[in-house]
Amino acid sequence: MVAFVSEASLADHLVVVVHPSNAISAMNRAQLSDLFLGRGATFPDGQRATIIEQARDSRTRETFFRMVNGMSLNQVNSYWARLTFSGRINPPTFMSDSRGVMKTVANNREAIGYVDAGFVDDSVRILLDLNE
Amino acid sequence: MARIGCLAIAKQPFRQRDVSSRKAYTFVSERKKRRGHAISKLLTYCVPHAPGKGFARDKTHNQTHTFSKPRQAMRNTIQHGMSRQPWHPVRRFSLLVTMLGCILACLSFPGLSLALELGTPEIHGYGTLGWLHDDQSQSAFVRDINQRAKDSLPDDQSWWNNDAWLRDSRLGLQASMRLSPELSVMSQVVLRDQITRDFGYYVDWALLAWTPLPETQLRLGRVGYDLFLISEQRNMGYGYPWIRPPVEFYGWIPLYSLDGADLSHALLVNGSRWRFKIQGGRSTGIGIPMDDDLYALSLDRLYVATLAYEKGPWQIKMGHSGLHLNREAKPLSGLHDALDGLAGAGLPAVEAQAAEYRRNMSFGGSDITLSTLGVVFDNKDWLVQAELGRVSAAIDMSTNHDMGYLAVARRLGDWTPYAMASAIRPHDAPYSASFNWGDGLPAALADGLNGLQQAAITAINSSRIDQETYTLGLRYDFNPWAALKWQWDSTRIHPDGYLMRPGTLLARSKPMTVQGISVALDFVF
Repeated sequence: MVAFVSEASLADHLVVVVHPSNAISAMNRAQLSDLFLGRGATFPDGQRATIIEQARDSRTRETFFRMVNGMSLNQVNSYWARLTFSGRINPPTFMSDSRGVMKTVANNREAIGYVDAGFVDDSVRILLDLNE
Repeated sequence: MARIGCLAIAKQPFRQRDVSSRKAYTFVSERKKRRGHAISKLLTYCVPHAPGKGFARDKTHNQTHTFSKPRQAMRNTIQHGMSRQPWHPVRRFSLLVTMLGCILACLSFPGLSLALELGTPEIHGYGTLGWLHDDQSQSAFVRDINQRAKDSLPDDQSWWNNDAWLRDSRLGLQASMRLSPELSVMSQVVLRDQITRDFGYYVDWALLAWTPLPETQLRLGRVGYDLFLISEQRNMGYGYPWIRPPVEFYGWIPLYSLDGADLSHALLVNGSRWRFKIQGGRSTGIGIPMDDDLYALSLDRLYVATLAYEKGPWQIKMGHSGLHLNREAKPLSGLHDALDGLAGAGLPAVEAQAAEYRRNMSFGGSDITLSTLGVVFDNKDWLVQAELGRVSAAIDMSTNHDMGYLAVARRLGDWTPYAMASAIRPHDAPYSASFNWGDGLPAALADGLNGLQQAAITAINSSRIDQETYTLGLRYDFNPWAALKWQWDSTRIHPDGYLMRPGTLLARSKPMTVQGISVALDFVF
């Protein structure tokens, strides 16, 4: 069923997902913003976090940052370009779509990503529903 | 640094207006032969070419194209050691074509970003295709002092000349790979217009990073010199609103990296992020145009310590750095020899002042310290950024300046208008002759002594930078990975306040105002 969902028709109901074994119970939008802007490298409980990004110019990514911190895609790209090309931290891992994010998060205990709710299955755990 | 660049305004030397473009290479060689550089001329007439020979007119060197052995050796190093003439117009054109080809290829594949799986190599890049033009045919904008201004180029003021396109154009390629959750390797190569055409100097970073704790990182190898707010990203135009970082602040020190190590640690305290970083190492490869030659810098005891604070829209960064110049400026060797040769000449007042001048133009063994404070306010709609800095050196013919800038940008959807003001001021007034060395001496000797005195004063004053720039511009983010920028700059250079260039030593006392326009396409991939 999931395979027939068109991502272009979604991207307005986003959820943040982590590996099912991840012990973290909650994160707020400010914490998510810091994590996805590279200002922090850990979950609130101190364990290392690896962020998994959607395609750089995707509508899903644009919606996510608009809901989390109000930044436009251009601003986010410019911000990350400064971090990436300063050699300070490794650039985030970009996936081409939500299926790629789902697969990567399901296989990595440190991973955190965001996908449209229509793609979620039991291989990941929903940490935060951004529409709530 | 020996030469402070900033928005370097370089007078052209004796132009050969009738030389056709197809004879461009010949033009450069011939022009060098004919160039009557002030210091060279003065040295030819009055400077002994070997230490210890005393002070006397040396008729055997009475030709404008004769140089002392160290100077000639330096020329050989530059021209043959690098296996090419650094500013051969054809090579500059090749560099431009290469850049354009790479840029077009990158634009054709905007999603080019290899290996998206964890634990595999990743390749990213950025670039800028820039063009600029100013209203002074005898001067040139430069991004930093590692670029030579128009004086080494043919008299081509047309819009397609290489200089106009190369000044701001750059292409960067970065490869990284995570070896494990704690270990990663990274390298960045930046192709840019610079006087040092040494591949090693194009490699900005080549490092091994160890992250034993999520907020603690140790890096070994060639790491980015990280003192200023955007010192690590100064080449990546897409990351800031302007076409180039304020040259009064960033232009005088083309120190992009150091070979050594750095250690950083961050703390999260009540929603604020504190980041401490120390760096140590050495650096070679920086070349600074000096006296129609190249001063190849060698820096050691290089250290940086910074403390940064981030909370919400605010970022504050303060830093301190020091470096030790362990190599003498060979282009000055003739002048050094001449001043040394005055020792024991039986003119106590002259000898004392000559010794003082000599000490203040001895780069080898001298130290420079830098202190900076930067503040950023970025609430997504407004970006306000300011930095202040102070540079102090042990000798007067080095960098002794205060500098700063204030930039304001307003984001209006995809459009970002911006304004900026930046300035640099020297700590001290320019040198001037308190008395003429030749007073009371026979005319022939007096002329030589006065000429040497003036040459020394001019050389020391040549390091002063005293100028300010006002900038207005507009950025248009027409794509999530690319932006177009337009920029207007107006720079006022005060007397004895801009770069020395061959043929201009005696004309530096005049103020100048330069208007420039620039256009740039910045992108990342």
